Formats: sequence, structure tokens, C-alpha cells
Amino acid sequence: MQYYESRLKIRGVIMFRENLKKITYWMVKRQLVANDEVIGERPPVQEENLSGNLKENIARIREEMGNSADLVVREFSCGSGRGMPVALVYVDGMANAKILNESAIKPLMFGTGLKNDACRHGKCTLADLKEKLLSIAEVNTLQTLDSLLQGILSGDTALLADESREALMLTSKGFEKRSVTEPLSEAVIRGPREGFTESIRTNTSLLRRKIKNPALTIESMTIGEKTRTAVCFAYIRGVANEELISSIRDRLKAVRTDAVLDSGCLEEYIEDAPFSIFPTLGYTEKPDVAAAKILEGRAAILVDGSPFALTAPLLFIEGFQSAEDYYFRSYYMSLVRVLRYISYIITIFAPALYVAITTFHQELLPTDLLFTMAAAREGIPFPAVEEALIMLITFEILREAGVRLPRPVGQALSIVGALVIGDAAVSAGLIGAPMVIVIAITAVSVFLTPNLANTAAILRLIFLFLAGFMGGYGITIGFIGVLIHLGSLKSFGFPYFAPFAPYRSADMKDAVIRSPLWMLATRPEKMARRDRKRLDFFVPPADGTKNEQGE
Amino acid sequence: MNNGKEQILSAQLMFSVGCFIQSSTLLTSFIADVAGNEAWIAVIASYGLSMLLVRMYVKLAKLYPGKSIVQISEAVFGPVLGKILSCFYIWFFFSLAILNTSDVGFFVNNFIMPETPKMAILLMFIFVCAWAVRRGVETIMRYGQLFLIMGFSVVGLFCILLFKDMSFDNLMPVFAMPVMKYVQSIHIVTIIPFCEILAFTMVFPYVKDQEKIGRSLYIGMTLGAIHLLVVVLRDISVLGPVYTHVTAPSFQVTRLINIGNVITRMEFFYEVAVNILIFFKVSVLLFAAVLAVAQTFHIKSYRSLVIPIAVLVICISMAPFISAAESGFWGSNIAPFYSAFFEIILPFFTLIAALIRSMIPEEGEAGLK
Amino acid sequence: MILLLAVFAVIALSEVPTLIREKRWRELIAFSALYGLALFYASSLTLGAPPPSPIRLIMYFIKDVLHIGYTG
Repeated sequence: MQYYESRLKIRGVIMFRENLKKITYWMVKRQLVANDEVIGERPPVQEENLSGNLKENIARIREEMGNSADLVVREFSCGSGRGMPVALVYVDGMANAKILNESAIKPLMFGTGLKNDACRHGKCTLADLKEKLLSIAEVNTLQTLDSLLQGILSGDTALLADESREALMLTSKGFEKRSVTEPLSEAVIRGPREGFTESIRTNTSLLRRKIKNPALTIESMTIGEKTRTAVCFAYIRGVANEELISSIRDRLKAVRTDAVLDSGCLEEYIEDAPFSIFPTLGYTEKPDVAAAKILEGRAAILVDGSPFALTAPLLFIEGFQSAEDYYFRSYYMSLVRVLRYISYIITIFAPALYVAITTFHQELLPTDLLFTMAAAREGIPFPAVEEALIMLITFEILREAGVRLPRPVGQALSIVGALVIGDAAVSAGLIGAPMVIVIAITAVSVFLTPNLANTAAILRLIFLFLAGFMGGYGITIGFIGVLIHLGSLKSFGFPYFAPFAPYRSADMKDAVIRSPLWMLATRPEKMARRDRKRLDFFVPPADGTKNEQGE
Repeated sequence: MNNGKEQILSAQLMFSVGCFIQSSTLLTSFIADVAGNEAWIAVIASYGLSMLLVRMYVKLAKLYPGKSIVQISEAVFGPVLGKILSCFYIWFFFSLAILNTSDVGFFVNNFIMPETPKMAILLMFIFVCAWAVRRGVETIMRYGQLFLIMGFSVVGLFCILLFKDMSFDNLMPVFAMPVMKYVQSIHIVTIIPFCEILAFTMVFPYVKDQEKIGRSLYIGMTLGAIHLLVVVLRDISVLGPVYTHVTAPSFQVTRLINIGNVITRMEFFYEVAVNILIFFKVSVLLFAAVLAVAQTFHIKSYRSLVIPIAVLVICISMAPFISAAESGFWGSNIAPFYSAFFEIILPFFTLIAALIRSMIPEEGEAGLK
Repeated sequence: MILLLAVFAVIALSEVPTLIREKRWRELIAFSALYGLALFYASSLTLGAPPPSPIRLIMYFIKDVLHIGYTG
């Protein structure tokens, strides 16, 4: 009978994965259908045009905004004589009042007393204002109320005139935003220290400064019913794959959601494998990293309000690459990269291997070590699996706590947690000393590959359970299972495990080791089909140490 | 990037073939029983013979490009007889999957975890193989390259570590056995590692460059043959006269590694490598069996058929033989003839019939004119 | 035994509705046939009386009926 318990455990659970999608969809749909009667219909979108009456327009705008206190309406008359009644509508705090004062109100009020006063007796049009009087850089003409509101809520100012079915939108964005500082999540020793900020225009300008090429195309759109967040994605025309770009565009257009607060929210809507542990979209806070990825043929997606840019597609090996790799010399960085692979393997397999060896395969240990470990495990009440599980959970708790606590307390707690709790647990006889070391090394090695840290935590648990269940054999089977999953995963159509699984020897130069930059002559295959050459192949720098005889 | 149909590059096919042959290194015990210290001669001779035999498969593939062996036999022999032949092939791949799975079950059960019930081991193994087949043939073939390199590195590593234990005198008495032994051993090595490549004929429809199939097969076979030769040479030179007496020579060899008392107990590398390689082989065989069923009965998608066939494989692999001795007897005496029927005789007749068929339309056209 | 039937039912439940919905009748027939065979084999294994292994049958056939072999 126990044979078939294992069958139920494994087959039943995993076979349901296929149905999980259907069940989730069904449950969510039921909730939506049930709630529709309660919540009612959504209000229709304002597609109406502006009427010709100024007072009416202003009243409508006020009503749409719910008579918000920060909406400012400045009515005045433009031109000498009777003048034409105009109104400026803007949101206090979003629009830069200084620009308005200097460049909009002043010329409109005073600048019309000149020789060709088109506004005498109110006989001018908005087009005249736009062409002759307003000294603002960007002025657009709008007809619908919706676009007007959208502009006002982005920080622009609307200029409405009487007897005109159109309005002018003046750019005057002047809200408070964070200045460009060093990114907190990706600290580097060498390399640029600029980081993206929350304003999308600043971010695109940072990207443009890295790639001063007209072929860098930035397409933008608005996503989110309620938040109307501006999202744009950047790529280099001629290098990026056409199918990739159209795929990204289609997916972004298909997003139907209420709110996009951060790029992480957007990531979940457009990613390839929502049920996979591995991420298929990368993220970065640094413009040089984003620029490097764009140059390889990928696309970067920027979201207004989020300092993290998404990069599509993402391959497995990118978790092991960091920006600094390319700014230092290749020998040491190749070593560091190999170290990263080793540390990732350690962080996933160490607890599982410890459990497997102490529980199932004691014969694999050298004899002296066997005695030591047997002595260490002498009075421990828990089997190895539970011991490892307790330590892993404790470590995760400490990690989360260390991040969330206020800074002075957080640092102290991490150190206290690591040393004291571990030591105390060993003295109390709850945990064995080797286990503490194993968990400590596991905990530290995960930080070499921060992008894959979350998947590492889950994989660690999976392998731990497999090891407790079947020992070394379980780990091997789990490893094969993970390989299968990685091998069939695709990110935006590109195989996830390239260049290992569809083995591309040309791309291996940057996979496990980091070849010198003058050797990295081609872009990754399939990603930049049309423009694969980065530089002339194999031109080592001139060796200045050779003298005349070639010695 | 995917137009819906899975495609395999010829390089992936080449490496997968090599990996497939590598997986058979576990089974060298039956060669050891028969040929003893001269197994390496058998390997070299069968490599030559197999090249000729694989030409048959390549020729069939050239005559009917883009078709698998099941589809070819149906095209050549007509619907009824073709279906009967296809059923033979289905049974063949199925039985090979059973044998290999029971091998891995035996290996893991006896050497790694003696107390675990065999059903659990087999269940997990077949689960992973079935999952791989369901994910598609592309996934399996992609890993052929990776696993081939892994296999080579493991064997290379062990060769280096065992260098001080090798004594090439053990290879020496050459041609000292009765002729039938040589014939038998060549027969065995041709059939079991090399000609099981028949399973890859089921993969032919998915290959992108049909013209390069022949080249991929030959080079892949060469790679696999090199691996097999190196393993056999290493085993014989290290174990010497003990070679014929142990159950799994390659495994026992790794237990002898002892460099300064520090690098010991390297069996786990070998176990992991064996697990992974046989996983690859069984996945390919399972895929061949499932696809053969689908193509025989003109079913478009093979995905749902994987589970029942996988369950059957588990059930029968629990006890295909009464004892290990029977398994050895099967490998040395029965398998050469049993497999030869499917691997050599059937394709041979298919080829003859196909050649005859390709000559008939010419007469027909001449008659019409 | 009940566990076995439960697991087989679960697998069937996850596969058959898709097949029926997409009207893949040939596949459904093949699936059912193979699945029934698998169910029979597995349940007879559980009950302790497995059918004779086909491999042994083949071995008996080749060795004793056809007398093909290197030894005798």
C-alpha cells in the first residue's frame, strides 16, 4: 500500500497543475460574476467633446474632478480692450506655477498691447495664441474632455477659451520627484552610479544619454483603467527582433487591469510562464544595464512611477551576469562568474545534500568526518529534514525582518540573529553544529545572484523535501525535473536555457566565463538576427610590451 | 519564434545519438561475461559493422524524407501489413523502455538504496521521463548536447583519477578465445548499444535539415563509440581478471578511486551520471513508443497517450525477470536475436521493398507512354 | 487498492474531458484501451498476482521454441 501512497502524492498533485489554471480561472470568474450585481456598471469613458461655452466647460471639468480642492481655475481676459475670456486649468502641486506665471499668463495678459494686436476686442483664436503669444515649449490642441483631464492630471495646464470647441494643453510639469541617485538595490564598485527614478521622462532621458543613436525607438502607451499609467518600451530599430517587439506590443496592449503601480505588477500580466518558479522578465534599476540589454537586441519596458525597468526577454544565465562584469578585467571576472555558478549550486543543494548524506548515504562521508557528525547529531531530537526546515524558516524570517526593520535596529538584529540564535540553538541541543554551518553557507551564497534569490529559496525547499523523501536519488530526479522545466521554458519565444540547452557555442563566450570584450564580437544568436556583429572579430589590443625584435 | 511544429537541428540529433549510446555503458556486464578481456576488440569491430547497418536507416530516410520508420513501413507495405509491422516496432520500443527502466531500478535498488521499495524508485523515474516526453521532443533533444558533454567529462575525470591503477597488460592476450565468442560479442555490441538508434528513426520527421540526417547519425555514433571504447578499455585495464566477475564493472571501477585518501567515494558522481543518461535514453524510447502508437493509428497528438504507456512500463518493469541471472542471460543470449529481428531484419526488408517500389513507377510510366 | 483506483480516476479526470471537448475520438479510444490495460496490470500487481512478464514469454519463445541461441 505504501507504494501507492507515493503514487498519489506525486501524480495526483502534479497532474492537477494542468487543471489549476482552469480552476483558478473558474473561481475568479465566479467572483466577478457574483460581484457585478453589487458593484454595478463602470462609468463610461468621457469621449465627449468640449462645448463652445467656457463656463460650461469649466463646470464640467470641476464636476468630473469631483470639485477637488487642488484643481485651480484661473480666469482672465486676454488682450486689450474687452479681450477674450480665457481660463487656465491646472492641478496645484503638479503644474509648475512659475512657468505659468512667466510664459502663459504674462504674454496673454500684457503681451497683446503690441502693434499687431490680434486679440483686440476679442477677435483672436486659439491658434493665434498658440502661434504668436504663448512662449511655452510644447503646446498641443485637444478636443475631448478625456484627453484634457488626462493632461491636467499629468501636470500640464489646459487653456480654454470662450466660443472655442478646442483647448490648448501647455506642458508645465513641475511635480516633486526624487533626484537621480545611486540605486540602492544594485550597488557597484566600478561603473556609473546613476539609477532610474520614478519619473518616466527622466528615465527615458537617462536611456537616451547612454545610447545617442536615432535608431533607439521609444514607444509609449497608457495602461490601467484607474491609474492610467504611462508605460513605454525602448529598443533599437534594426537590432531587435521584429517578432519580439510586436509580441511585447501586443501583450502590453492586451493588459486589462485597474492599477499598475509598479513594474512588478506589469510583469505579472505580460510574462510567459505565470506558474513557473523562474522569472521570464528581468528587472534593473540602472540605466547602463538597461542600455546594455537594449544593445544586445532586447527591449526595456519603463513604467511611470517605478524606478525598475523591465527587460524582455530574460534568459537563465542573465541571473549570473552583473553590470560590473564588463567594467573590470576579464580574468578576475571570469573567476567571479564561475564562483557565482558554484554558489548558486551550493545554495540550492547544500541543505538537501546534507540531509541526504546524513540520512541515506552515510557511507559517502570520509570516516573521520562521519564520527564527528555522528557525535554532533547525538542528542538532537529532530530528524535531519525537520532540523533543516526549522533552520531555513528561521533564516527566511531573519532575512525579511532585517529588510523591514529601521536601519540601526535591522543591522544589529541580523548579526544577533546569525550568531547568537545559531549558537544558542546548538547549545540548547535543538540543532546540530554542522547544520548551522550548512545553513549559514546557504544563506550567504544566495546573495551572489540576487536576481535568482527568490527562485533559489523555493528550489531549496523542493530539493530538501525530495532529499528527505528519497535521498540522493530524489535529488537527482528533482534535478532532472528542474532541467526539463528549464529546457522547455520560453521567454518571449526565446529558449530560456540557451546557450546551454540549445547549445550555441558562439554564445558560450559570455556564459560561464567572461571573455575579454574584444572577443565578444557577436550578439546573442536569435536575438539580434539582423545585426549580429558588434565589432571586428578578434582584434586583440596591440601588445605594447614587445620591442623591436619581437621579444 | 515557434511556428507550432517542433524542430530539431541536426547538431542536436548528432549529440543525442552520442548520448544515447553513452547510456549503454551501464550494461557492459553482458559483454564482460562473454568477451572478457577482449571486449574492446568487440567494440571496435561492432562499430564498423554498425556503420554499415545504420546506412540502412539512412537510406530509408533518404527514400522517404520527413517520415519516421512507422510511416515508411506503412507507405511501403500498404495499410494492413504496414500496421502489423508498426505494431512490431511499437512493441520493440516499449520492451526496450521496460528493460532499461528495470536496469535502472536494479542499479539504484541494489547499489544506492537497498531499503527503498522498487516501485517508488521506478515511479519517480518514469514520472520524470513521462513529463519530459509530454513537454515535447525538442526538450529532450536539446539536452542531448549537454548530457553528452557531461558524460564525457565524467568519464574523462575518472580516467584521469584512475590512471595510476591502470595496467595495460590486462588488455593483452588477444585473439585467444574460441571464434563463437567473438561472433557473439560482436553481435551483442552491435545490437545493444549501436543499433538501438532505431529509436531515432521515429524522430526523423522533426529534423530540420533532412539531408544532414546521415551525417548526424554517423558522427553521433562515432562519438558514442569513442565513449564506449574508452570506458571498456578503462574498465579492463583497471579491473583486469576481475572484469568478468563483477556485475557492473564501470561502477566497481569508480569505487576504486582513492587519491591520497582525500578523493574517495566518487561513486555518487557515477550514479548521478547514470541516472541522467538512462533518463535520456528511456525518454527517447518512451517518445518513440508513444509516437509510434500515434502514427500507426493516425492520431494527431501523442500527448495524452504518454500516461497509460508510462504506467504500463512501470508495472512491467517491476519484475521483468525472475532474477538477475536471467537478466544477464537475456542480455548475452536472447537480446541479440530478439533485437536483431526488429533492428536489422525488419528495416532490411523494408528497404528492399522500398527499392523495388521505387523502381516500379518507372516501368509504369514507360508502359503508359 | 482504493488509492490506486483513486489515482487512476484523477488521471482520467484530467485527461478525458479535454479529449471529449476537442472531439479527438481516435485518441480517446486509444487512450481508453491503453489505460484499461494499464489499470488491469496495476490492479493485478496490487492484489499480488501480477500477470507473467512478456519479456519472459519472449525469452521462453526464443529459447525453447525456436532454439535460437549461443548456448544450446
